[in-house]
Amino acid sequence: MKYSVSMTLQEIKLPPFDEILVLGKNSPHGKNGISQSFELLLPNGFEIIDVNENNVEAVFVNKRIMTKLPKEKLIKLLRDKVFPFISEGEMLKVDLKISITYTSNEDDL
Amino acid sequence: MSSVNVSVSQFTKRNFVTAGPFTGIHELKPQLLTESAVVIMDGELFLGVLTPADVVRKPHRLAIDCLKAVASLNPRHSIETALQIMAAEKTDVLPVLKAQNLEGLVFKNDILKYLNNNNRALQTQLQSHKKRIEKIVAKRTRALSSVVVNKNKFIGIIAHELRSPFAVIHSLLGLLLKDLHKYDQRTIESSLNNIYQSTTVTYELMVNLLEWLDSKSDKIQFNPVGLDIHQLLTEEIKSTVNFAEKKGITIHSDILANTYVYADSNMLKTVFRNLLNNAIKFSFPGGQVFIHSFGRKNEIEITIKDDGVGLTPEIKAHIFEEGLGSTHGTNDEIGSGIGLLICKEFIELGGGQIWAESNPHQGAEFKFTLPRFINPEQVNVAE
Repeated sequence: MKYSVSMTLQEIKLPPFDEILVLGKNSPHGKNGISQSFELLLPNGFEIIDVNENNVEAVFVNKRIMTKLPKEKLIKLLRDKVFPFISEGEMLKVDLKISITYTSNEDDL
Repeated sequence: MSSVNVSVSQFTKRNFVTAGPFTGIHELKPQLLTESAVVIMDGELFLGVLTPADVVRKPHRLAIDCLKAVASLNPRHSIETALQIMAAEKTDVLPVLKAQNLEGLVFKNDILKYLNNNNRALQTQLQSHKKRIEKIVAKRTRALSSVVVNKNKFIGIIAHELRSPFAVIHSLLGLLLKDLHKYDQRTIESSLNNIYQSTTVTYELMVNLLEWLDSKSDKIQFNPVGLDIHQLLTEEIKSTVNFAEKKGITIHSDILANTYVYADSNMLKTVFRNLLNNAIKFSFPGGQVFIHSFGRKNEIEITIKDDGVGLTPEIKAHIFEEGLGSTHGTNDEIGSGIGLLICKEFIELGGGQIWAESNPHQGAEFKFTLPRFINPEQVNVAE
């Protein structure tokens, strides 16, 4: 008897995203359940933002992002660029890279 | 108290099923099907009530995610308020909290079942009240009809019965006044005798009418006491003896002394007077009237029997409803028949019964019962 084994190794992280998770309406996982599991994996790491959208129940945002980008601006950005692509019952992870650039004259400093 | 004002406390179920907030819905489904609601508690902290509707509305995997925030009740809330909140919240169950602690659950079905049973009880009560009211209305209608009949009878008596004797008095007095000097002593005496008889009849009729009207208008006082009927009857026989002697009628009474009844003295006298007068009036000259009593455990039955003209079955059937009507005795004595109505009225007021037993040409028997007076020590002897 011969065996043929194909093996792939890959590192994963928990939770399986870094910055933002958008939770669609009627997802099998509710926001309380997800919040609890995130709290166990990364205590005090995420903020839950409830949004009043037809297809989105809540947004989980890594608190590191919140220190760089105001909540309102972030939600506006997500509403324009991400929420239109969320289906019912779907969860979407959003990778968000923020770079902050200062341009200033010497007189301004 | 209205049934909708009953407090929810009596409908609060305290044997509910609980589960933790992160219990899987799959695990809770069997309990949701059997219990209709599962209380979600985080330790001692009440979080909410999970129902099958919540799971359909928010199909998540954990109980906490399916929970819908709903209002709660306090134990003093009425079931009406509870139903209003349930309708507004679109739920069939509400938690009852007392100082933030869960007392139990109130289910819409339990309230509806209670209201339904209560409604049936109310329907039964309503039917019973309706029947009672119908009986009262029927009774009062009969009473009113009786009043109308009595009123008509009274008007009839006034119009008819009083007119005849007054017509006799009027015409005889007219003749006497016009030609008094032409009449001899015998004719004048005869006319005066006729006038006397007519006034006597009119007077008796007036007395009876007034007594009858008083009995109908509740003016008459009913004061029953223990009465020796032998003594009372003897006095009444004495008062009718002249009338009886004129027709050669003998009155026999075998009522023993110390036969006590519980009755109103004046009413009983009126009954005796009327029945005795009738017996004499309808007896043939030379006839006999018998009075006797028969004692039972709780009552005395008294019979006044004559050997006069008797009663036809038709008259006997209605004699106490309509009276005898305008009647004439064996010596052409005039009577209105109202006396028997008064007898019935008074006897029944005293808790007795009166009836007639008679056949035409075999005399008449009038019988009545009165409650027996069982404590002779308290007798208030009739005056």
